[in-house]
Parts: sequence; structure tokens; C-alpha cells
Amino acid sequence: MKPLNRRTFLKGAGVAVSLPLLNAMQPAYAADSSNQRPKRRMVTIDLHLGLHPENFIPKTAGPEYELTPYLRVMEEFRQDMTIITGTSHPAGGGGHLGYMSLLTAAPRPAQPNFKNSISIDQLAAEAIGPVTRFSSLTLNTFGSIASSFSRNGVQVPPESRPSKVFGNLFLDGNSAEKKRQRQRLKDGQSIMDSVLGEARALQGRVDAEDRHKLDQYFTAVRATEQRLLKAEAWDVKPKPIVNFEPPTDINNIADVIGRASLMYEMMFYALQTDSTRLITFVNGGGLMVPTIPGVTQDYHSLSHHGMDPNKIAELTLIETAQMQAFAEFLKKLRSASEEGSSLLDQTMVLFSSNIGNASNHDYRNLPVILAGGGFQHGQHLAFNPKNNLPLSNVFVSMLQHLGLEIDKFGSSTGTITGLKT
Amino acid sequence: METMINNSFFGGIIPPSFALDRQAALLLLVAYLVSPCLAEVSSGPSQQFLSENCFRCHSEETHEGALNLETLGTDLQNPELLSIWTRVHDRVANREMPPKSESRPSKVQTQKFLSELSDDLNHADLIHRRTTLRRLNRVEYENTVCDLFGINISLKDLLPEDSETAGFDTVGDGLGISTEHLLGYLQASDQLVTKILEPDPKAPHISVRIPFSQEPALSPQMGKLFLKLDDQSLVIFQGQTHGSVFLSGRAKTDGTYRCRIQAKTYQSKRPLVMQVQAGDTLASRISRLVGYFDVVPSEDWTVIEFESFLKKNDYISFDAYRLRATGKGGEVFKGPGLMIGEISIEGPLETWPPDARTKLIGDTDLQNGTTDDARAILTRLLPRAFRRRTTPGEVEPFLELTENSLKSGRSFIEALSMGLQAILCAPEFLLREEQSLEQPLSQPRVISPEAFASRIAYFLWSSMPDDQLLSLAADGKLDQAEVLHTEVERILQDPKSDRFIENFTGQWLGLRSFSATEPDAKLFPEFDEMLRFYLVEETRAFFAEILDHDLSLLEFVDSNWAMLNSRLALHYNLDGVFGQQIRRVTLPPGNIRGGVLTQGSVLKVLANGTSTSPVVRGNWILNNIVGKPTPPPPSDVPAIDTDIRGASTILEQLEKHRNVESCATCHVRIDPPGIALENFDPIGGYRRYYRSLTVGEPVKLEINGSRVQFRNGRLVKSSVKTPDHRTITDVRDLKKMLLEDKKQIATCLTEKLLVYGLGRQLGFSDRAAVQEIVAKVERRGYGFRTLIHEVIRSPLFRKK
Repeated sequence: MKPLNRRTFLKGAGVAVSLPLLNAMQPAYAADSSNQRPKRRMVTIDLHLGLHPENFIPKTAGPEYELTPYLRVMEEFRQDMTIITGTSHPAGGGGHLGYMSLLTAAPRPAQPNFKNSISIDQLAAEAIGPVTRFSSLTLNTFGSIASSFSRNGVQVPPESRPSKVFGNLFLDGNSAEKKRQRQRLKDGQSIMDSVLGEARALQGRVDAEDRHKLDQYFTAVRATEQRLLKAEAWDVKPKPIVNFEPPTDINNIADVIGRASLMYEMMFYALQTDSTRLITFVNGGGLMVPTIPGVTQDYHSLSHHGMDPNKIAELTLIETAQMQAFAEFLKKLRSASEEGSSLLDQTMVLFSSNIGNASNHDYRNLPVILAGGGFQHGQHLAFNPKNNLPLSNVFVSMLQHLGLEIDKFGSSTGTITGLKT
Repeated sequence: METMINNSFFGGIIPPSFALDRQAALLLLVAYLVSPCLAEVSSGPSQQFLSENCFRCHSEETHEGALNLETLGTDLQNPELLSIWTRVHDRVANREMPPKSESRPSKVQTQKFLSELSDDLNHADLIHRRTTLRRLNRVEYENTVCDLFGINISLKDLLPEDSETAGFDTVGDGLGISTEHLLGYLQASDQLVTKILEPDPKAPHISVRIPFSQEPALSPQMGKLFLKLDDQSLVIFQGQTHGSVFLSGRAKTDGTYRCRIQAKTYQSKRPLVMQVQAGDTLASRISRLVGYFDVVPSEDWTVIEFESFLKKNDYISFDAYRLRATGKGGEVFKGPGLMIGEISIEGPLETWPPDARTKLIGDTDLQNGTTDDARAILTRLLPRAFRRRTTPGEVEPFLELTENSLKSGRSFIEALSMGLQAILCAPEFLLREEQSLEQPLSQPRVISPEAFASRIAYFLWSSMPDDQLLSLAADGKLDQAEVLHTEVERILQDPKSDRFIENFTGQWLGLRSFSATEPDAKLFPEFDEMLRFYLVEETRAFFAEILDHDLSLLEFVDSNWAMLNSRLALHYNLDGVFGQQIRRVTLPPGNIRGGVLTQGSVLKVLANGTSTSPVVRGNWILNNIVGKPTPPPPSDVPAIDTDIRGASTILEQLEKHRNVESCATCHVRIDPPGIALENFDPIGGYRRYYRSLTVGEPVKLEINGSRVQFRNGRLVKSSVKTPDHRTITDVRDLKKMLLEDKKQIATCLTEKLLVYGLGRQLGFSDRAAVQEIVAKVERRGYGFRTLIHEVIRSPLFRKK
């Protein structure tokens, strides 16, 4: 990737020149400072309706673990992944709404006074976001649910259309559109600057508790200014030229696997072009009857199988196809190379769900596969199914691996034992 | 102040940081001034009372129900402790504790204990019980810009979804502000300002009237799907097609269009229904329902007339609802069809240039605008945008943006846009500033008259106050009870108050999530698009009927009438209701359908599409009708593992559950109201048997021409014992029992309205004011409209 030329930047920046230089500009100035150590990326996947535990959890632990039906699909990645069982968020819950806490570890999702907090990807984006065009991507397959939450616990709006993702990543508008877009980015900064002054004036009129709320506004305005400045800096750089065709969105939401696979493809392109290093993806499931031969009932009601063998059989068809789609994604990452290693080795992929057992909405014993990223894989780390390890311990290990200097996240009690780099 | 600080709970100490905080001290002082009960100094609830009556079960050693009162902290500034001690207060006050099986304290002892405890709770709660500076939620944002500029634009989807706190998205604590919001506001304000300043060029006013059969788009299918008659009218036989396109074309511009359609029944002795939709159904497959219209057999044409807002490229389509395909073609088909004569469409009905533009810029020439023009425009807008009088200097920062842009050579439109966008991203616009400008900080709890006006407007319109309301407020007229009453009546009569109905029922009764789950089509084949539409309409109409006629709020629990049309009546097994119009219908004596609990909308919201849970329903009733929620289940308790292979029913499992003591505390209260609703299926239909696709007796029944696939499984039982050993046979007993405590029902609804209107959660210190409202409403027959007035008149509505 061509670093941003300072003169180009200044020319493009216009009114923004007087603002302090930001992290956002660093790779553009300090050329390839990021080359000094391997690039690290993180992808998380929330399979929204979970996996039937019987088909997933291996009965034996350690490197010699037995393959279960779902893991058999993943067999060729045995040395590229670690199966982690017996983890969850200690104060989880909330049924399907548990997705809100999956990456934030905020306690008691969906309870009346639930307050969310920052998700691991957004936390990581504060550190490594500036080096890529997009600090992070927040994706799903349909609807409005997402795994990413900002510092104030506000959900980052997700994108569900692969065509839009592709457009954002690789397509430049025509010159009039580009000009208008660039003007918008500049105007946005001036507007933010102006309303900051308004907020200061308001500060003098409100009392202590309201000032706290106003602080949220301040933080958000400043962060928005930076976001716009960064977007403007990247805007003068041409987008990566790729030789794949823009995707055609699949409108039928019942084509659950087709839609997921297409989004996986976009995720692969984004990583391969280093357009972002952080992606969260909610692979949704809902009330549609998936277009998979042999499936006759809707995905959600199948997940509430109530031990009915016919329902479990249909559910298994869907979930096996989900595992295959995921395996395809890993295959692409493994076959692409970067800086002398595979893209998969530079990208940790957390495949999990906000629900451990969808049939009774149990939030414990979540299914977790950690693949790639340069860890020493090839084993099943089995933690206590009765007294789960906080999932946040896994997060701390991952965030440290990304280069963040933290030793605590959410409800963590340490890092995950047994996982070596 | 001395007494205040000593008056801390159980002789505990208010943390020094707190005692030193000037703001908090001021609030304390104010709390002292406004709360007469604090004038008496309490010595703290007696340790003696606790040790004599509570410690036997709730001590260090025993801590039953995970409650250890011996060492429980007493710092009531800790919200968790405040809520635990509030529960202690309530359970003693309700005579649930100490339990009957134990020796109980005398009335005098109990009263003394309670009154001391409630003083402390009141005092502690009052300190932080205030509305946080709240952001407009995205519904309010959209309404506000629409009303501010007089425009019809949909913007809320550009903004992040809002979270609900205490059940409502108006509660300030839950409304965060993030970068995503500001990026959304930038984009939304850009779209809005562009639409106003650079509107689509004037579109030709269309006014077309043709026999429908001459519509060119139909010709390829003529004779197959359709039949052309000699008089040039056309017969359509099939429902669910999108083949019927108006004018071979689409709306050339956003706007309201008026349509007239002549229709008759063909080969049918029974009335038929025309379904009309609007949207860009070819490109996006998204269409919205305009409505269902009756066509009754007659010699004369039925004229169907409606106005609909179309977006650019939208078109109108219609079909013969539920009619079947012709098979071999229209010429030989003998089944019923819908005959269409002349159609006409006219629009856009709006004036051009759009009102919004004229209203904003007056007669300014946008091509040659000057700084002075910009100053005039922004100055006019500012007080309305900020919903209060503004000082002359306040416009300067916004004007400066415009001026700088002009200086740098940008066009007047671009420069003006900058100022406008900044106003729409400013904290004064996005946040609901409720401080009084005139009052010094020493009286922080009373909001300014203009903030009061905003509260009323956002309560009943989900939007900004209009000029009349604002100027009455500014003139101090809202302090006069009669003026206020007249004004609230005007606001309720304005069509904008539909937003109150939509947003309040959307959250109180959960209607916003009505379509969150899709009923299983094989189990519930009768759930069609028409039912989906009318179930929600029914509940809104029911709410509006009670509101409009000041009927008793107790009718929400039970009524001897319902709001029905033919489709709803069919769903509820009631005869004699014809046509699409939803109207008030008196129910047969003893009918189960009165009130909201038995409306299909509420029942559907509480189900997951395929099955129902008494726990979900019971819990909902406790939360939303009775207003006595139980605490959430401990996080280490898994949900019940339903086993539908038939080993046990959910009722049997719940019974086991209630026998476990730690579950029983709550489930003896949750389960009975839920079980009383067992006779209602996930779409609100009445059931005697649970439907199943695998087990039970096959059912001989056709729905919409197809034999149903479901079977009759187990027999439903809805009989259950209450905690006080009475029997509830079915939902009728439940409603009777709920209505035994009318005050409680009124209290619950009052609290919901207050949370929604004040934008904050209620606490112990609000109880007296709530009871005051309830007492007033009780004297007036629990009139619901009266309640709205009383909520607004309450001192709570004037306090921050």
C-alpha cells in the first residue's frame, strides 16, 4: 500500500491543517513503521443461533481430541485452530439479546437497566484502527444487530449488503461525487468544530450530572472530527485495485448460507487488501426456512428443538452448512500469503456464538473456535462446564496478541491458560 | 444542613466526598425544602425491630433468600442498597414479611418502623431522582425536523437504534451519544437541507383518468390473468400479484397523490376486498400497505378513494384479496373476480416550491443571497430549533460558519447549508435542555416554562412544541390551570397526537416488536397479511377509543366492548361484524376478549412464533399491568429445558419449579396470570388443544382453500391456584382478580406514563406524587384522558 504523501495530504486537508496531527496520519508519514512486526488482525464471528452442543463439543481434551460431527467439517484446519469449551460471560443471559454482550462482556444483557460498554474490536480499533482505511468493519447478514459497541455502549451500525461493503472498500465515485464527498468531510469537520463551541457554552448552564452527559457529547464530537479527518486523508488515496467482480446481493434472506458466504468473501477481500484489520460479523439466523435441501422448518424454531430428533436432524443440516461456509473462509485466508506467512497466520479468527444452547437459551458453555493469528493451535482446551472460565480471559489473550497493553477486560480473571503463541 | 447529614441511614455516614460536593449539597437543601416529611428527624429504623423480627431468617448465618440484613450496607446513596431496602419496606408494608408462619410485630411497631424507613428512603432517593439531560431519540429527531421545517422526510434509519431504559426509549440515562450518532446527524441534516434548499425540480402535476383496461402495462397478460369486458372495464381474478400497475409508471417526485378507483364484484354474491399497496415493489420488493377496501355486490360502482404519500419511483398496485387464480383463463373461469372501471390519479398535491423552502427562506434569492439574508434566515430559525427564546448573540457561531464559507467562494446555498447543519448538530437542538435560564442554580429542580412546554409536546407529539404552545409558555400562561387544560386538549386533538398512541403503545404494550417473530405458517396458517395489519390497528384503535372518550383506564384490563372489523371478528370467533372499518362493537356477555390482555397483538408479542410461555406472559402482566415486577432470576439458573417429546408439559415443569423454594418466591406470583392465558395461541387465537405437526389428532379444516397440516395435541389447561389459594379457571377470573385492586392498576399506568413523559425512572421519592395523581383520577372514575391531564399537572412534570 502506498503511504500517504504529506503534500497531498496538506493540499487535501484544507481547513484541517491547523488541527494537530493524528495517529490517523502515522502510516502515511512514517511509511511502514507497521512493518517492523507482523501485522495482526482480528475477526470475530457470532453465529447467532449457536451450535447444537452435542454435535460440537469434543468429549476429550488436549491435542488428541476426538472429532465431533461439526469439527469433522473443519478437520483440515486441526493444526490451525484451538477448540475452547467451558467458557462464557459470568453475568450473561438475555437469550438472543445476549449478542449485545458477546464482545463487550457487559453484565446482564437485556435486563431493564442494562448498560453496554466497549467491544473488543472497538477497543482494539483505538490502537490499531488508524493504520488502515477502515478502523474496523461491523457486518451482519440481515437486520440491525451487530457485535460492535462504542465506548458509550452504542451499537456501531452494521452493514448487511455485500455490494455496499465492496463499494466502500474498492469503488471510487465519479469525480463529481468524489468532490462532493470530500467537501462533506471538510464541512463536517467545520460543523463539529462549531458545535464544540456550543457545547462549551451549554456547559456553563447545566449542573454536575448533566455535565456528565454533555461530556459524552464532547467526546463524541471530538472523535467524529478525527474520524472525518482520517476519512479525508484516506480519501485522497485511491482505493485498492482488485480484480474481483462487485458482488450481487442475495435478496432472499432464506438463502442463509449464500448470504453468509458472500459476506465471508467480502471479509476476505477486506483483509487481503489490508483495508481493515478488525472485523466483527454477526451471522444471523431467524424465522426463515433456510434453502438447504432437507430443511422444512424455520431456523429459529429448529434451534428450539426441545430434543425432538427430527428437528435436531434438520438443524444439523443447517449448522453443518454453516461450518462448511466458515471452513471455506479459513481456506481462503490460509491460501493467501502476506509477508512470508499465510494471511490466516496474521489474522486471528474467533468463531463463537452468544448462545451456548439455543434450545433452552443457555448462555453458558459457548462454542468457541480460535483459528489463525499465529497461536500454537491443534488442541481442545476444555474448561469446567459447571463453572465456566470467563470468556473475557480469551479476549485478554487475543487483545494482548494484537499488541494492546492490557491485562484486564470485562470480567476477566487473567488470560486463557494453555494457549501459546 | 447539620440535621440532614446526621439523618443518614442507620446512623451511617454520608461519604465525605458527597458531603463536600457543592452541587449535591444544594440538591440536599432543595430536597429539604420540597419534601415536608424530611423536616422530622428520624433516628433510623430500629435495630431492635430488625433483630426481633427479621434476623431469625435474614442474618449472617441464615441469610434466607440470599438476604442478610445484619451486615447489609446502609449507605443509601448506593443504588443497589437503596433498591434492597425499598424492597424490605414494601414487603413489610404489604404484610408479606415477616411471613404469617412467624410471630409478627404489632401494628404500631410496624408503622413506626415503616415510617422511619420511608423517610430515609425518600430522602436518599430524592437526591439523585432527576431527569438527565436527554438526547432526542431517533423517532423524536425525525418528528422534530419534520415539524420544524414543515416537511415530510424519513431520516430515522440514518441514526443508530436507541436503547430502552425502564421500558422506554425516552429515558435520558439510556440515550448515549457517540460518534455513530454524530455521523448520522451530519448525514441526516445534509439530506434534509439539500431537500429543502435544492428540491427536485417541479414535477408536472399529473391528473389522469382512464378505463383501467387501457393501461398499457396490462396488455401482455390480458386474457390470462385478466378479462376485458365490453364496457372497457377489466376483471382481475387473482390476489397476491403485483401485476396491476398504475399508469405504466412511477411517481416522478416525492409527494402525496390522490387516487380514485371504480370497482364492482364480478360473478360474486359476497363482498370482496381490494388490497392496495404502494412502493417500489419491482426494485426493492418492499411495499407498504395503503389499505384494504370493501367492494360490496351492487349495480353501481364502488368508488375507492385514498391519498398516499409516494416516494419518487414508487407506484401503486392493487389486487383482489384472497381470490384464486383463473386456471384456464378469464374467458372461461366461473369464479369471483374484481371488476375495475375507471381509475384516476392526481398529484403531487403539494405546492411547489415546497412549503418548507418558502417557510425557511422567505423571499430570499438563493442565487444572490448575502450574509444579511443568512442572518435573517438563521435568526428566524434558531428559537424554534432550540425550543426557547434565544439571545441575539446566539446566532453568531452558526452565522460565522456561513460567512466563512461565503468568503471562501462557496455558493450561498452551500454556505447557508453549513449554518443550518450546525444548528441541527448543536447540543441545544439534539439535547433537551431543561434548565431554567432565568432561575439561578440554587433552584435547580424547577424547569423553565419553555422546557415545560417541550415536555408536554414530546410527551404527546413525540416532537417539538409548536409556536402557540411555546409562546403561551414564554408568556407564563401555562401556569393558569384553565389555559393549560385547553392547551393539552388542543394538543390531544391534533393529529400529531397519533404519535403518542403509536410510541406509547409501541413500548408499553410492545407493539413495536409485533413483527419480530414470524408465526410458523404450518401451525398457524390463518395468520395472513391482513390479520398482521389489523391486529396492531385494533390495539391502537382500542387505546384511542379510551383516550378520546375519557373512558376508565380499567378498561385496559377488561371491557365489554372491542374494536373490531370482519377479519378481527373472524379471528376472535365473533359473528355479525362486516367490512374493513374497525369500529366499537359490544361483546356478548361473558366473552373473553375485553381489554388488552386478550388482544391478538399483545399475545403475539409475548409469543415466539411457535410456542407460548406462561412465565413470559405472567411476568409481562406483573410488569406492565400490575406494576409489581419481580426481581430478575439469579443468573446461575438455566431456563427450563422444554422437552416437546411429550414427557412433561410446561405446566408440570412449572409446578415442579414452584415447589423449589428459591424459585417459588417469584414464581407463585408470575405463573398464575401466565397460566390463565394458556387458552391463547401465539397469534392470539383461542385454543382448546396445543397445535402440533407431529402428534395428536389430524384436524379436518380448510383455511384459505387449503387443508390444514396441524394436529390437535394435548388439551390445554388454564386453571391454576393463586398464592392466596384461590382458583383461576381462565382469563375471565384473572381479569376479575386484577380489577380487585383498581388503585394498583391505575398506579402502574400512571408510572408508565410518567417514565415515558419525564424521561426518567421513578423512585421511592416519587410515590407520594404518583398517589396524588391516582387519587385525583380515582375521584373522576379513572378516566384515562383525565389521567393524561393530571400527569401533566403534577408537580413532577415541572421538576427536573
